[in-house]
Formats: sequence, structure tokens, C-alpha cells
Amino acid sequence: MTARTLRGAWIVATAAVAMVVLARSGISQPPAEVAAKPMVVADIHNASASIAECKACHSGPDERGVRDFKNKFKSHEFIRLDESVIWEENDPHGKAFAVLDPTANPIAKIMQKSLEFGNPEYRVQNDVRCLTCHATDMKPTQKTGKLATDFARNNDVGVGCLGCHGVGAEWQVAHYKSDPTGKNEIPWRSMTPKVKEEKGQRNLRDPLAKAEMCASCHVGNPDEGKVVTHEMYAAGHPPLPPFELASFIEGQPKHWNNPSKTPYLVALAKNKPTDAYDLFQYRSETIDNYTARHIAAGAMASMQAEMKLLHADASERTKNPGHMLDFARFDCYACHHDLKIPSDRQERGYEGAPGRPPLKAWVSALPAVIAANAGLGTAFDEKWGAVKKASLAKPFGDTAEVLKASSEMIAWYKPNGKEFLYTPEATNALRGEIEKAIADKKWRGDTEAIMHLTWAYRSLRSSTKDEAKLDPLGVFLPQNVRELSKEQMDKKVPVTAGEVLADRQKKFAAFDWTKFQEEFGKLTK
Amino acid sequence: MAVLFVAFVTAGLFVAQATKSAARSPVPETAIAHEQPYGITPPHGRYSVATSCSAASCHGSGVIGQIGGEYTTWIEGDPHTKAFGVLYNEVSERMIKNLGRKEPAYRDASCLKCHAVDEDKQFNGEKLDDRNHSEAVSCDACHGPSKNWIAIHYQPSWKAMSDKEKFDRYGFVPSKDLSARSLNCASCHVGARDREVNHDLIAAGHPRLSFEYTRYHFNEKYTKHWVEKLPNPDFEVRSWFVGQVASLRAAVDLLAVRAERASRQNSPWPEFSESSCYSCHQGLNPDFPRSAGADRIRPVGVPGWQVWYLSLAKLVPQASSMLTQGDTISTLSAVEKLRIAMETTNPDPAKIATLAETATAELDAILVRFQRGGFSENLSAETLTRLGGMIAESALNANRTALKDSDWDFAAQHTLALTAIYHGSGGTSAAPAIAAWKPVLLKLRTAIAFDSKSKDRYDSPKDYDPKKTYEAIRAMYDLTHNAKGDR
Repeated sequence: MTARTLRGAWIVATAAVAMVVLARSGISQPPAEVAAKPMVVADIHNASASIAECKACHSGPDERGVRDFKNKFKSHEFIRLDESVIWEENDPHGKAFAVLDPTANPIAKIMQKSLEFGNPEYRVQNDVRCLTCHATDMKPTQKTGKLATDFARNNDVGVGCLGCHGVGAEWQVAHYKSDPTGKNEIPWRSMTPKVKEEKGQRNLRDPLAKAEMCASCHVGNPDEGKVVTHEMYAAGHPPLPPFELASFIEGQPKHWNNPSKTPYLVALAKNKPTDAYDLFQYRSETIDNYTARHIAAGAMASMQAEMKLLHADASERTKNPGHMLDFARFDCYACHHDLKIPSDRQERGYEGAPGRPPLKAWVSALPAVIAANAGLGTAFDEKWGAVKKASLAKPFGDTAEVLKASSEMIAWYKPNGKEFLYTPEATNALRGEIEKAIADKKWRGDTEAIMHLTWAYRSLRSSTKDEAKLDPLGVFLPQNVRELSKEQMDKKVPVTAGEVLADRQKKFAAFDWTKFQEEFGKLTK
Repeated sequence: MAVLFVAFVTAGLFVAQATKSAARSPVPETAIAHEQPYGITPPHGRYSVATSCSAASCHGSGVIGQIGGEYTTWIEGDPHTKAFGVLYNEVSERMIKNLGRKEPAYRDASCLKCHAVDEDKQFNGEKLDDRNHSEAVSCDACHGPSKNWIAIHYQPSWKAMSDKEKFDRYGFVPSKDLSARSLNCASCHVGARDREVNHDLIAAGHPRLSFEYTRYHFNEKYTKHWVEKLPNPDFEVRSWFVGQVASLRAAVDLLAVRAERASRQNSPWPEFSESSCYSCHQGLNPDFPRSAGADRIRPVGVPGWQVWYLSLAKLVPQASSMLTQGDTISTLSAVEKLRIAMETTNPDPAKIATLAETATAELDAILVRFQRGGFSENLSAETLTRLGGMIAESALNANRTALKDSDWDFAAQHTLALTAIYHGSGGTSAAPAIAAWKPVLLKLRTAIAFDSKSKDRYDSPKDYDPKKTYEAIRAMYDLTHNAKGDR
């Protein structure tokens, strides 16, 4: 391993840490020079383990080579130990790269044709803009901007282990090293998240850090080159659905256990609650509702991600006064709907001049509820109001105003990315407020906002042991993420994007606000 | 040849230019300043009330559809009489609410511009009131403010005057001249320098504008208060052709105004009502976008600019050679340059203003020629079949395997053009070669029809499938090329 690749890995890891740190309240500031460095494409080759290396220890508690961890360190009480198997057999993330193959996926074929710009050499599989999200480490090297040739290690894995858990070689060895003094424990486990992050491992036990990581692809992250532009959508990229962390997790094949079902954490919370929190951000459900916290973290992180995209776009466009922001920053459905009479939009009326597409409504709908629930409603409304006003001042935004307002919104997020504590009472109150928001007439015509709120609501209700599964709402709500069967995973492209889209977009197009409200009213009585 | 010659001489620098480059426009920009078509500016003068025209011995004979009964015919059933009344309806109320305007629509100056006789012109020295407005789009709105010509327009000296003089000196719109007529229609149905239906208005509830002269004119339910002097098929086909150029001219001029405004002040830019409505306004269905995988004719993700008015612009030179006595018109290169510049993500308004000015001049030069005459008469079925074949061919890609543009507006304009020829030729009673178009035209109409089965009304082509349009157009291509014996 060369010094250069190590340094590249360090930059990625540190910048990831910096984001997490920035997002959390009152913790230390990152070193200025690290924060200033963009981490668009890092030279991470050879710096990371391959999925095969991870699998050596995460292939099931009774497998050879894993047994030791179970028997000696009781690792099965801390993690599942079959993570690689679940990921390999059921997780759609593993297909993220495969779907870029134009010979296997018709959407990739169409996109390649639309984006080639008369350049026959163009391949979506080589396009950095695609690879930032669709691959873990098939990314161009920082030095040359060209794809590294050494794909052998992680070829074709899509979003593999390190895509989420963090690149960087150091933690990948350190996290299973046994105690040199021979004690029956792994020293890594008692290290603080800060130390782990410095060694390259993301602290995914912190819902906010987790949410920011997921949102970096599922919403976007301009600093990491993860931006789906209108050009890409128009070329055929499926519309990114609103990102709601709790319900997306529900739809995932989980290679992790809920902390309240993890004996090690439950015991630790009982005996050393401070350690349980400081090391693993775990509190018992009687103090803090796991789902509610994920909903809040997901909503805030998604909003922050979208604000950063907006800010980056505005900052690019202000170089040319009068330029519009990228269409992709706005509510897709403000334009992309059939012109129906009567129209929900015309019935509801407009906040700005009619005919000026608003920002994506889902981005602010849930955060507004969460902020109000946490007593931050006025501050949120003021900041968001300014962003909204700037975005409507002209069709597709007054860039200078958007730049200013979005940077204030981004700055506001930091101190207020504070941890919201969801006691049973607070959780109940949140549930009631989300319920009210779903029924609010102001979201008529903003189907994405209603869906986003309803996804959160369903997750919350099933987590609070409410008997109602809210199935009737399934008629209205498309499924966005799903666990895939082993058979599907064995195909190169398990489910064509067309199939996934068919369900989502048909339900979306058929969404009838009045009928939905009737059904929803019955469920909440 | 004589007409052609005159045109060249008037065009002045053409000969010199042509020796440099045969591809250049035969009408150089510098020549435009010398002669402009009449009708491109609003007619000047003061207005009279409609009752000034309705004397029994003048235009109010009481007999609908007869000469002398023009006023009677108009007041009994012309849709223009309803233009003011609609400002009281529910849609208008909602629009005003959505726009946050203070005055009701029937008092809002921007609505009255088109929905009544121009509100800010005075006549008889008095300010117009609701009662005057309630005349809606009355005589003077189309024929020109009549103060200066009402007393003389029935005298022999008037008949001896040229159309140009009537317009320039008296503010009379010579509606027998198809350019002046369609330019005048376009001033409301497309927009003009002082009036526009912009995207704000449409989003608030105003229907989109999509003017195509023959579609408006050929309507069996529309009892006209005039009789066309020009017999068919010449009238229908010529008015389609002239209407295309005049409407495009109005659209380009409107762009010029908007671009000038945007380069001076922070006004909405680009104006989305100029983009193809349905390139954005289609549900994100699984097969979205309709253009996916098609040959690229504009950058991906950028809506087409004025697809409605530009769909047939490329045909102008060819159509001209078929419909005139050998008058040649070069490719509309300035218009094409403008289109390319507009079909980018962030067009520069200052640059666009200049390009639009050049494009307007290019179109004006064509209108000047139209106003000089020189059209072929008694168009033969053979010529019309060739024209139809050319229209069908222009809708197809090079291999004729798909439409050139999957935009709905593009399909609709081609359909209307073919329909105008069919109707102009007499429909089912036309020459067999053209009467045979009927089943294909019906297929085409079905392909582009809006959903009428849902309980809600759709103002956009929900579930539009360009493949079906392709099949019908392809059938039309085969039909017209077989008929000619080309295959």
C-alpha cells in the first residue's frame, strides 16, 4: 500500500467524519484544510478490503473461521455474524452497478444513448456521475480522472460493505483484532465513535450519521459528486423517490438487529447506560423510541442534503446572473403531470405566482413537523420560508437569493441537528402531529409530501405496537425498496427498473387526494 | 418568372449575395428595412361601437349569413361575442384568485386587451366602460379602429385604394389579404407586443394558446359573416400556408419582446408558455419520457421551444415552390438559429433578442412576397397529393421508422396540415386520391385525441403514444407516394 493511496483513503474517511461531526451539536470543528477539500473522487483503490475479505468473518455464526468469534468473544450477541450472506442473497444495493449495464437493463441502454452526445466511446458504466452512487470503488482515481484498471477486487459489487461502513484500510483490520494481553474481548468495541471514525469506520449506530450516509446517494451530495441532474432524469434515470429513513430500512433485508434485540447492548444499557449511549448511541426504548429517532434523523438529513444540492447549484449558477437553477432541484410533479380539470393545484391555490414550480414539498413537510414537535417550529419556518420565497421569486429561482437563504438553512441545521429524544409521550405527540400534517389541505396536489409523511407515519405506528397495519393505505403508497429473493439476485439485473417504476408511478399517477383522505380519516378515528 | 424577378430586384442585394453563397437567404437583412408587410403592427385609430356598423341598410339587415347581415350574423352566434362574458365565469374567478389580482377579470386591463375591444383606446372621447366592453371582440377588433374610415369605406374611392394604403393611412385591416388577416388573428391568438398569455396565466387556469388558422376557420358550426372570395382548394391550402408563416412571425416577435424585457430587468425568463406544454406536462409514467430512445433533436432534458409554431417551418421553402408560381424561398436559417439558441438550458436574453429580430426580418420578407401575390390557382389534386406526401415525409425520421419528434404538438400540426388539404379539396367529394385519405386522417385524429372517457377533463394528451401517430403518418406517406406512382 502506497503512501498516496493511504492518504486518499484518509481524506475520504476524515471528510466523512467531518460531515458527521459538523452535523452534531457542539462537538469539535474539523481541521479547516480537510473541510475545504472537496472529496469528489478519491483514490481508494487497494485501500479497502474486498467483500470477500468481509465475508471471511461475516458468513454466519457457525461457519468455519467465524465460530471463534462466537465462542470466544460472544460476537453473536453483538452483531448477527451472517451480514455478508444477507447482503449477497437479498440486498438490492449489490445490484447497483449491474443495473448500469446497457445490455442487461433497458434503462441503462436508453440513458447511454441519450447521454453519449455523439461520443461513441461514452459508457454509463464509466461515467463518474453514475459511479459515485452506483459503485463502491469503481471510481476514477483522483490523479488521472480515469478509471483505475484494478477492478479485480471488488468488480461488479455495486454498493458493497464499504460503501456504507466506510473505506480505509485501518479499521478493517483493527475492528476484529483481539486484545494483545489475551483478554476475551475485542478492544475495538470499547473505542469511541470518534476514534473509529478517524480510522475510517462510519458510525452507523448514530441515526443521524446513518441518515446522512444514506441521503448522500438517495438524495444527493454535491461534495461527493452525487447529483442526479435533470439531464440525467430526462435521459431516463428513474425519479428518486422521497427518502424516508425508517420506512426504507423496513423494506431492506436487514443484516443488523434492532439494538433492543441485541443482548450485548441491552445488558450494557442496563449496567452502564452512559457507555451504551456514548459508544453505541443506544438508549432503551422506554427512554428513546428507535423508530421516531430514525424518522427525525432521516427527515433532517434529507432536508440538509437537498439544501446542499440547492446551494451548490445556486452557487454554480450565480456565475451567470439570471440563470435558472437545475429543474431537478424542484418538485418533479409540479411540471410533470397531465393537465386535468378540476386540478388539485388550482383548487388549492399557489404560494407564489402560479406557474412557478416550487421546491420538492416532501423535503420540508416532515422536518417542519419534527421541528415544531421539538419546539423549534418558529425558527424552522423562518429559515425555510426564506428558501421558499427565493425559489419562487422567479421561475426556477432567484439564484442569488436562493444561495443566501439555503446557506442560512444549512447553517441552522448544525446546531439543530441536536438529538431529539423520543420518550413515549414525545413519540405519541409526534405521531399526532404527523397525522395532522397528512390531513392538511395545504399538501393537496403535493402527493410526494403526503407519501413521505405517510411512510413515516406507518413506520411509527407499527413501531408503537399499534395493531393497525394501515394496510388500506398500501393502495395509495408505492413500495420503493424491497428485499429481493435469492433467485432475483442471481439474475444480472434482478428487477428491471421498469417493473419497479410501474408500481410506483402508476400508484402515484392514480393518487386521488380526496379518496386517500377518506381512507386515512377512517384509520385515525 | 416575373414575380420571381420583381422579388429579386426588390430584395436588392440578393444577386451580389447569391454569387457569394447560394445557400444564403435570397432576402438579405438590409433589404428588409425598405419594405415591411402591412399588418405586423397594430392598426392605428380610434374605435367605434358596433352599433355604428349595425344600421339595417349597412351590416345589420337582420338576415344571418347574407351580405348586408354581417352584424346580425356576428351578434347571433360568433364565438367572439362571448369573449367578454367568460370573464365573469368560474374559471376567470379562480384565475384572479390564484394570480392574487385586485380587480375582477372583467376589469383587469391585461384580460381586456383580448377579451374586449382594446380597453385603453378611447372612442368618442370617452373612457370605455363595462357596457362597451360587453361588446367583446366586435367589428373594430378585427377590421381595425374605424373612426378614420367608417365614413368612406363604402365609397368608390375606397375600392380603388390599395390594401396597403387602407392599412397604413386609415387603420383598416384588409382581411382579404391572408397575411394581414392571420397576423391580426395572431395578435390575440398568439400574442403581441402589448398582450400575452404567459405561463403564470395558464397555471392559474387560462387555456393554452395554440393557433392554427385553418383549424379555427374550418368549423361547420361557425356561421361566418363573410363569404370567401377565393375558391377551394386554393383558399384552405393557401390560408394554411400563410397562417403558418404569420403565426410563427407573431411568436418570434413575442419572444423578441420578452427577450428585450428580460435583458433589461429581472423578468421571468425564459417564458415557459413558449415551450411545448406537454414535453413537461406528462405524468411520469413507467414509459416516460415519450421521447426516450428517440433520435435526439434537442439537448436531453430541455423542452422544445415553440414546437407548435415551428413543426412545419422547415417545409416553407418546399411548400412555396408547390403553391406559388415558382417563387423560391430559402431555408429559414435565422429561425433555425433562434430555435437552437432557445433550446438550451439557460438562453441569454440579449443574444436571443438579436436573433429574434433577424428571424422576424426573415419571416417579414416572406410575408411581403405573399402580399404581392403570385400564388398558383386551381391547385391540382396531383399537387396537393405531393404536398400531403411532403408533409407526411417531414414527420418521419430518415429511415421512416419513427416520428422525427415525439412531441404531441409536432403530431398535431402535421395532422392539421393534412386535414386542411383534405377539407380544401372537398373531403369525400374530392379527387379519389385525396378522398382516400379519410380513414388514415381519422386514425391520426384518434392517435392525437385527448382522453374524453375519464370523468375529469384532460387538457393534455394523457397516455399519448407516438407510435400510433407514427403508424398513421407512415400510412399517409405510403398512400401519397403510391398515388404519385413513386414506388
